[in-house]
Amino acid sequence: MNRTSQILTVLAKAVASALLASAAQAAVLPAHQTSSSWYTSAASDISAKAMTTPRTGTAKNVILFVGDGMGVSTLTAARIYQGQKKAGNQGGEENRLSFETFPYSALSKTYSVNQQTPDSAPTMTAMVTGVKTEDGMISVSADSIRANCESSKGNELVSALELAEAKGKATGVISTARVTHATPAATYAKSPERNWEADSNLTAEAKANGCHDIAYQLVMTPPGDGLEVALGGGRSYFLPNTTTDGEGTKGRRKDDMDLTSQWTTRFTNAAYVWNAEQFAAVDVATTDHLLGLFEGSHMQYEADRADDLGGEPSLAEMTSKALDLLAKNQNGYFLMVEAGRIDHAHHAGNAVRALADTVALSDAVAAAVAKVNLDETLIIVTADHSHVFTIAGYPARGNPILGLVHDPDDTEIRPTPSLAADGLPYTTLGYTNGPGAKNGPRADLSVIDTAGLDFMQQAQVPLGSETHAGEDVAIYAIGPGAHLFQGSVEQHQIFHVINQAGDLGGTKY
Amino acid sequence: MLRSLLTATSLLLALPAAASFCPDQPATGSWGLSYQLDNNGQRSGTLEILRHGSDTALYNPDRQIGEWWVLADSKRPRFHRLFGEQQRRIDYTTGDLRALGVNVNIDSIESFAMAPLLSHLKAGDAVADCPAARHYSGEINGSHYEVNWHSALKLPLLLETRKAGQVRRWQANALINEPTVNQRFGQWLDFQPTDFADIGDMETDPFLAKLITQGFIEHAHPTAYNSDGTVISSEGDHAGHGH
Repeated sequence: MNRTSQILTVLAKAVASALLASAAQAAVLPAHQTSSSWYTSAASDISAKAMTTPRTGTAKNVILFVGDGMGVSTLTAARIYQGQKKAGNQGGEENRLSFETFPYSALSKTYSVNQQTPDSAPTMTAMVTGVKTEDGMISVSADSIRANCESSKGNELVSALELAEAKGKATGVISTARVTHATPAATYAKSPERNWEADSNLTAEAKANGCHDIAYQLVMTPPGDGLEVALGGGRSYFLPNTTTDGEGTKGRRKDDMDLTSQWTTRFTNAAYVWNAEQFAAVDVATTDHLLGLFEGSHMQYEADRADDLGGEPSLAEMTSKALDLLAKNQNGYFLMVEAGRIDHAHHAGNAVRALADTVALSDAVAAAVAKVNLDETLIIVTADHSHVFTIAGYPARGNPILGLVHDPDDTEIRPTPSLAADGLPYTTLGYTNGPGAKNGPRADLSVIDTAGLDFMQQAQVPLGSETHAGEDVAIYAIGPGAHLFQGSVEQHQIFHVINQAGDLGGTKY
Repeated sequence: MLRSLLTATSLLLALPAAASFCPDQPATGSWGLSYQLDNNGQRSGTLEILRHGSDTALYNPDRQIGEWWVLADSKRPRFHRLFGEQQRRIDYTTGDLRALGVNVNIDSIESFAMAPLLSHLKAGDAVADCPAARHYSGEINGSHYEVNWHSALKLPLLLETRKAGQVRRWQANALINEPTVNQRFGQWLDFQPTDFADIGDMETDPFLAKLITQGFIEHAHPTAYNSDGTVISSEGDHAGHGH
């Protein structure tokens, strides 16, 4: 049966199914039910879903988006946050982030070999190598001992990015955190310690046994012919400690190496940029290897990006330019894009910055979808782990997501806030632990702008830094192989979907 | 330079407007003042304020902990917490400070939070034996203040607060010279740095884990350390609680 007849058959089945369902409903459901806008919109969505056929071909290209710390509550709050900014919104709850419209999704179990609640190192290792490992380890197996170089020798894992390089594809990593941070690092580096980002972080044992820092590995010992794109923060990890960069940050390297200049000399048609103006001027037609390091450490939060001294591109802008460059390779590409600062804002107990960065990730995904051919490109959007971030109380529909909880009053929002047992109002968004907790009575929030950019949500358990959470995170997917994400999956299955859909050769299926 | 005048603590307690120490304006951009801290007449510690160009640091030499503000770009302040015993440093970017809700007031940082409060106090005469300093006194938020303010240094030479029977006194007693200040800042540059944003992902680091669980890395408006070496809150609360 050829592809056209296959499609016609599926269509016929879907139409028949929809007609049958419609007839059955007409027999038993009252008109005020079937004419409800809730009913008709959902019926329309399901009809469309019934006509969806999996893309079973090979994914020439793979884009893996990771929202660091982007748990399900973050997605819900971010969609409302974005929705409430849209003109003519119906409260904001009806909104969808760009990737929430993808046809396939699953829940991902994030535990690591040694922890119920993991950090980004073992989770990203799982996603890009197919093997869970222990916390703090970057693409080496759990047979290694954390921060022990010798133990990691022989236990290195091969990542999807490396397989793509071996297939002659173009590869790239983008992060709003440092490009040497755990999530991007797991794609191109091996390290028993995630903090070995510069040589100054290496222990004597690590140096003696031949382990190299992560920045060094990106530039000096990269997979294949080197990554074509590396964009993000972390400039100080690439510069000697005798230099100060254009934004006043000192380098961290003690080996006197300038890895930015190494990048431009080691690779052909290579470019290094460190601010938005230089980035905008990059001509992808004449550039084959692009390194952009826009901050000494992590890039700015999206909410602060416009105020950056040197200027930084958005995650969407970096994604768009990276795709233009990677698409020059006829064999296809593998690109990892991380919204790395969702996690940091949550750790600081500052929800609004986490939500703004989540929306920035949504914008980046939308930019990618607009640019690629989905018949040959698998796009996956997921998170590495969650945070103890909650959406609480019984706020009315349309109640400002960053505001105090106001109960519904029939069709209106009650003007006075709901009060807790201590007689004080409380916000919809909060944290189970973190810096927002106080020893003693809660602050009275009735005179505080809880929607302010610098507002810190209240928390229950006092900790200097809010923590990750151990519940599952979501996976959204579209393109060839996306249909393999269904139900509850182990996080390390993500690699196997990439490997199979992209025919990367890591395993035969 | 230094003009040491009165040294008897008992006399100072009796005459808060009198000066025991009256420094001239340093000729260099790197200098500092050392303060003796007393609680109810009992010596409780030492605190230093250090200036290094546009940078200001508050340092407790007894406990080797400090706060270092980088204020060259007033719109983009940066901050470091210093832990000398462990040779560690926590770095806060402007974005970190904003996310933590820290409202940076440079006048406050550079003056032990006193400069913004002076307008709420009654100005008196020049301090005896130290014409560069003026005496201020008054009530703020239930605390009584006695301050000898050095207008050229923009720092108090004496800061005494009384609240609910508690008397706290900060008495400047020495000028810290340029080589010492430069040595301090140079030493801190060599401390092992950790970005504040990374701390949440480094709970297995024993030092950072301790800081997290003790809540030391908190969202308080960092201003100075009290006599116990813990952070005191910002303006209007010199006699207040530690975080």
